[in-house]
Amino acid sequence: MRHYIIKLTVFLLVTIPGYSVLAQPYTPVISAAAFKTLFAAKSASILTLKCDFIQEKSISMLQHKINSSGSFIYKKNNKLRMEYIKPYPFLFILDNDKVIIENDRRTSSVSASSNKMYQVISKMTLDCFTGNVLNSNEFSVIVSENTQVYYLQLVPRQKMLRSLFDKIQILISKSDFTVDRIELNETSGDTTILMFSNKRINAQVNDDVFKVN
Amino acid sequence: MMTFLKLISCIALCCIVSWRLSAQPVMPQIAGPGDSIGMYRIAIDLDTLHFTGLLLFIERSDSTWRVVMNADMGPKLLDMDISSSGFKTRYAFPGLNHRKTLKTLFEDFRALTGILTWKKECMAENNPGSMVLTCHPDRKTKVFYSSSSSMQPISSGTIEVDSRVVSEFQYSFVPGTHKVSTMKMRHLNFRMNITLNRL
Repeated sequence: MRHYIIKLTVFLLVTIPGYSVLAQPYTPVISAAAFKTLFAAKSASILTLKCDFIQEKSISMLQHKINSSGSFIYKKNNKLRMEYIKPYPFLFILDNDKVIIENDRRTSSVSASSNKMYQVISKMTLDCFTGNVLNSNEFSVIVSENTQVYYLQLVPRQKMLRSLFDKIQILISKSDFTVDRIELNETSGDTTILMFSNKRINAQVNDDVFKVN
Repeated sequence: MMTFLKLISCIALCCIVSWRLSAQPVMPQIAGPGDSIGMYRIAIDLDTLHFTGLLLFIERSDSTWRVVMNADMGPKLLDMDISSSGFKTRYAFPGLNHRKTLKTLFEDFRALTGILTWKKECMAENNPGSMVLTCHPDRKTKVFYSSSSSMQPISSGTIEVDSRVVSEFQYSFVPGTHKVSTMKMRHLNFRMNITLNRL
């Protein structure tokens, strides 16, 4: 019973903030240019970020969602480590152009530019965390806000991205200008939601975490 | 005496032929029982790249399977309808959207799902200790399904093109059932292996 209550509490703590933020109405920001400048300045001060994430995948053919979770590390510039722990171990590392994948206890290394899937995912995630997404010509961006978050709605302009996504929705915390949530709305109707929590900004991150032995 | 021996031989031959043709194979259960969706964790080894994700086999009422593949990191990679005679791509991630890649995946999934056996062109041959079902999807290709007997589900198979074996596949089962737990496909003419584990 105690175990169940702990599980329920953790679940509510993780899920309620995201949904309540989405439920609040948004109003367009007064000046998109001012937001862009502010976001660029704030994100420039983030040298590293460590946090946990939950990934929620909705597939139109399935009634239930597929959840995974793990840890996320970002280091300026262009270093990213996403380690999926549940339900299956899967490690994704981006170190500039080099992508390292570890799954089923096997490691493979590819160039991000040679693999479209990893290129799209890593670039988009990095751009969200660095604020580059607002400067990108690949999306048209609408910025709104409520009391807690900025809400960015990205609509792909580029043909390749348009074939993948209808839109991408990003929530950025007003308190520290880090990403709370990324929602990828695929053209097929499927969605992937990434929710970030337990964020530690500018914690020490050794370069070794972006390598695999 | 000679006439009697000829008669016995004819009867024996007729019995054997009849037994060989009447045996029906037991196909592995990819989705069910009681469900039209089979959910698998997929691992693909292609050259030096090891890729993992989620694969759904959805059995449809119009004699087709819908095959949907998602990457571990979320995005959909492949969505296609397959039948015994062809495939229709609903969606393919740009990196996969090449005719040759899609055709290879179609041929693999077509063999693994056993959709070919729905065609009447397949012939069962029942031998002592084994049973082989041979299907001819086209003039050049043959797919052989094998089991230890007509009472046992198909446990392995091969694909031949121009009489050369190009790939091999195997099934493992949930003990005591015909429900597939693992499927493995190995290509012999280039380095590509597919492993599917039921979730």
